[in-house]
Amino acid sequence: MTNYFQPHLIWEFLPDVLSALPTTLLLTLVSTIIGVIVGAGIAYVRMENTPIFKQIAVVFTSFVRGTPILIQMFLVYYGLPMFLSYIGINADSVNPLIYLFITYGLNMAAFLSEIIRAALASVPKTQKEAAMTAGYTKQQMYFKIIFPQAIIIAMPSFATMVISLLQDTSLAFTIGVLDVVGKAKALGTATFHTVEAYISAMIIFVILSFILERTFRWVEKRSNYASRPMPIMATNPVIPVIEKPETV
Amino acid sequence: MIEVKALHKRFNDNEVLKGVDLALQPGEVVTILGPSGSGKTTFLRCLNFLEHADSGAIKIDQDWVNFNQATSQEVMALRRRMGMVFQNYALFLNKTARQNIMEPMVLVHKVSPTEAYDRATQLLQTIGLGAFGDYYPAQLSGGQQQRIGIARALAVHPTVLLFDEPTAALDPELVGEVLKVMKAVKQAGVAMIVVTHEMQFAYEVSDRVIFMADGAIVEQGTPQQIFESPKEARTKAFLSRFKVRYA
Repeated sequence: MTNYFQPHLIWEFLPDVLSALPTTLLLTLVSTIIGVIVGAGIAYVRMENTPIFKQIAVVFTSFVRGTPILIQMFLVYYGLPMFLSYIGINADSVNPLIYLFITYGLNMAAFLSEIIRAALASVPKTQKEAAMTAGYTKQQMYFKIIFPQAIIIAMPSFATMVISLLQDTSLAFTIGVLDVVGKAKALGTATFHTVEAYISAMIIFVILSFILERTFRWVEKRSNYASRPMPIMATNPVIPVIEKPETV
Repeated sequence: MIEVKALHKRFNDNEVLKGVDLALQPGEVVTILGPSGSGKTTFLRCLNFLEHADSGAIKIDQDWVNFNQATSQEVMALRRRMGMVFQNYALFLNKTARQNIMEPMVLVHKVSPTEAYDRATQLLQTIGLGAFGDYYPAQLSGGQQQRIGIARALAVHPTVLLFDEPTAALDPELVGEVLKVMKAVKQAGVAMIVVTHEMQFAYEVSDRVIFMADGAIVEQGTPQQIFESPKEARTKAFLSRFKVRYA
């Protein structure tokens, strides 16, 4: 017990902690997908002013945005089975991951709905009018003109949300799911080298976030028509080079 | 043949259009002049149902359609016969110049993509932008964008083209190139309703000039009648501020 901190343990823990990475990635991916789908639904309901649904959507988003995600998680994890047992459904054998999908998915939905709403609203109104006067159906207008433009506007905020979701999934260990942090915590407890274990988890998160950030930036750049390089032909007109007559 | 009858439109308590009638012969170019707030733009926007008119009817080639009880099929059918050119161009920002011209042809008028491509290329050449087909609107000047806007509207062989102050957002140097394209459209035999402050264009190109004020047509006639010997006091006052070079 001479050395509390043994840096080499960080590397030794790494493969073990890494083995829990699929759980973290799965959690992030599924929650993002749920978030996009439900979030788009909420955005639609709010923009179209659908009665009743709109009020539900407003209350839901302000509740989710106004409470810590940890509380939401406990509410779903402990509250939902209780509620289900009242109506006669036994949810004891449900994988805890399902509760996490619900919590994080709905959390993402609330935040993404606002991003989607803002992005749709910031597509110039004349784009809609141009499509309408050209005789586009509503569906054509949305899928050919509005959505492609809104996605580009939403991209930076969406990337931020996904990366912060990745960090948020680290709370999963509180209900006993062995994600990257859960694994690090378990290793730390078993070996009494908590700091080293958490550092190796940290390394994984940093690298993962970096990769995600770069990927989103790449996608953003690829998809943005406004920042695309000009076609070569007319921006750099080929100036005929008049060659000097060779002097003999 | 385009006919509009008794078009009424009010925004809350403000009656913007007090029963406007208009009939156009095929290929006729009508310019609508008038002070701001006279309802010119609203009139255009009512014609293609961007604004919901309160009453009145419209007829293009086929049957009469009531403004206040048109079905969405009737609206779509009317819009297919009308092209619109906007003050701020309104090119689809996520499409290249060529795609802007092609897409309505392919999506709405079911022209085959190859045919649409050829027509778009040909139109781009006509408007002097043959080399700019792959440019995005953000990479083009206002004048270039507006010329493409006209080509986009023209590509689908409309019966009538509506121009909503097509040169108002352009600097004087760029106005000329757009007006040139509009003259070419007239030559192609497409009827046009042009809301503009370009007096020279109204005088030289249009077959008929309409002067509107306070939501009603005050006076109409040939450009010569309106510019050289206007009858109404309102028209005289408005035109006195402009100088037109009588060629």
